[in-house]
Amino acid sequence: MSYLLSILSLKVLFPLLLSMAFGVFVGAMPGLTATMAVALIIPLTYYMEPLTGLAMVIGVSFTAIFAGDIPATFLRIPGTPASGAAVLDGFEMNKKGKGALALTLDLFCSALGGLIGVLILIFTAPPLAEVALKFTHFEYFWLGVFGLSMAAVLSRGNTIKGLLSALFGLLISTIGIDVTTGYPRFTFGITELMDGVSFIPAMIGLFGISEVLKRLSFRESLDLPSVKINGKLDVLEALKLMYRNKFIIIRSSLIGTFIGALPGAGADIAAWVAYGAEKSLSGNEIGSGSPRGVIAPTSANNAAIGGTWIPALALGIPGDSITAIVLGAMLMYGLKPGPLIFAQSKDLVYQIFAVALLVQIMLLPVGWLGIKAFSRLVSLRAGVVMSAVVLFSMVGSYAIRNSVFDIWLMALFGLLGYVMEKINMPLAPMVLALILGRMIEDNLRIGLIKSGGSIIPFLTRPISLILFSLIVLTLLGPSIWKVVRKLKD
Amino acid sequence: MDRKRWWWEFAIALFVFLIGAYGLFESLKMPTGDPHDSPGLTPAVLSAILMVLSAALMFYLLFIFKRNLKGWSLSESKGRNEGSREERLKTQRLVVFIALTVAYVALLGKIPYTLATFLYLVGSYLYFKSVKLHVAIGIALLVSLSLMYSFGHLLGVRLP
Repeated sequence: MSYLLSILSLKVLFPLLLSMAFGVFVGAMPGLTATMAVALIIPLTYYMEPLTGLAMVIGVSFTAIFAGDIPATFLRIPGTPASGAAVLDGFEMNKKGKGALALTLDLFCSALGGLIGVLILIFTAPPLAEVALKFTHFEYFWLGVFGLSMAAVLSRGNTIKGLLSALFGLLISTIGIDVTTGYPRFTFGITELMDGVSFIPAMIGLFGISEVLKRLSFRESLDLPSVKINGKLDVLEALKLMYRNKFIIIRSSLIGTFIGALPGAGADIAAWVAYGAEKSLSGNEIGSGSPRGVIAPTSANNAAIGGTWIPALALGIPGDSITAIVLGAMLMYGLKPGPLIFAQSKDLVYQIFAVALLVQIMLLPVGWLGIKAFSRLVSLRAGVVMSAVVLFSMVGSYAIRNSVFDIWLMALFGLLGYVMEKINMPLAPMVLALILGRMIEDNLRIGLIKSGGSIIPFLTRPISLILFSLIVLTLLGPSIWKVVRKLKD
Repeated sequence: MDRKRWWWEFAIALFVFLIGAYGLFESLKMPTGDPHDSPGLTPAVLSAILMVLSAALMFYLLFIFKRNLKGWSLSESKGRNEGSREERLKTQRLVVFIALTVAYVALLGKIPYTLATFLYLVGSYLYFKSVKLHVAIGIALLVSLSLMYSFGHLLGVRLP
């Protein structure tokens, strides 16, 4: 409590508020990621006190991840990769006229998920970081496959097309320099492809540009407001839904925190796994505009940020690209992240925890203002909004690598997404495959090199075995459950 | 499933099959060695499965198509002809939008970003008749200048 009181000064709160407003702006812009928001704010904090600087970084990262869900719900364009899973049911709810409810749920779940993630960080950082360190290439391979098994869950009822979508995504993910041999695969001599297909332009194209093309098909819809919003957040209804689905929030936050704590995983994978877990438990309702499909990924992605701080603070190992920048900033402030930080800079560490808790509370009013501002913009005529969406998508795609090639890539994926949707081929498995493809292949092959070509370590290590069992359960669980129920009847 | 949808599905299945065939062909040309040392192994396996699945989808579609052909009536065709004008307009809109966007991206780097953006916005607003000319010019000017200022100057994001 004393740490919480110690941060309640204007010199911390004012920059924190500014950084959160900045986080909303950058997070809501398609293609501009939370990592970019943090990277942009770090230079401003050079001459600040460590607490103020780190408060700004914490504020911007949590807010940007939440803000990514705003365009995801209104326009079907994830503001950041972590909002990819939130697109599915958020946008469907918006189409049913429940956009305000979806975003209210999103806001509260983000704050609550973030809170749970931070509390786990405070109470279990050192032991959880130790578990995370036990993950080697064998476990990361299974973690990737576990994430990909969610593609099967997302394709239920449309299995062949879902599988085609996922396999096509996996094949695309093999483009680029091969990690073990250095051989360029399917690069056609294009330098930009050496590093693989950039995931963000692909996602913006698949979800966002395809939606723009779909809207253009209907002339009359271009004269109407892009999104009809009443502007009032449905607080009471959202709280009721959250109470009814409290276990989903807790489960998704735990998934988010744990995956966030694994170095190299992150909020985007966490959100997909939480969404997939929910879909496999709740059935076909998820994906058609169910509040549960909003609650699960939005709780998980913000909880994952707390998770990423666990190995960063306890071991000095970044959980994702944001904490990699944060670690650099901490060194700049003269701090040494690692096991000793809890002894050497105890006061500052607990003040950081207090800031992280405070950010979850401040996220509510700041996020509400962000939703209000964005809903004003998207209530302009669809023709005007769609052109702006294309422009922002281009800036976002370009900004990742300063490459016009990525703009063409985005446009190509937009066309692909449009055609895929024409025949009801789900987009989500392809996005999932694009995120996880490289992770799975690289870890499989490095694991095989380490084991001399043997697959035994993939199946005998305790964590590998647990993950493998989870995959089997995810894929076969519903069928087994059906058989058991039939036999019972 | 109507005839148009059938064609779309068949064309995409064929496209994916061809992609798979190309992937397999290219993968087999890559250096081979131990499974973990072969860069072509993963894409070869993925391509082969893609080919099998898309072939299965094509087979399935051909079976449905035969069944659907029997129930194809004249009245349905008439209805389709009436709807085809709207279809043509829809395709025209998409083609113009894609052409506008391609022209815009192609212009980037040749003329200043703000000017290209301004022209693109005015063009798209006018073609889609979203707003009147003076409003289109006003909004396009505002958006292109604020994009340049907010991203280029305030955030330091490099613009195309």
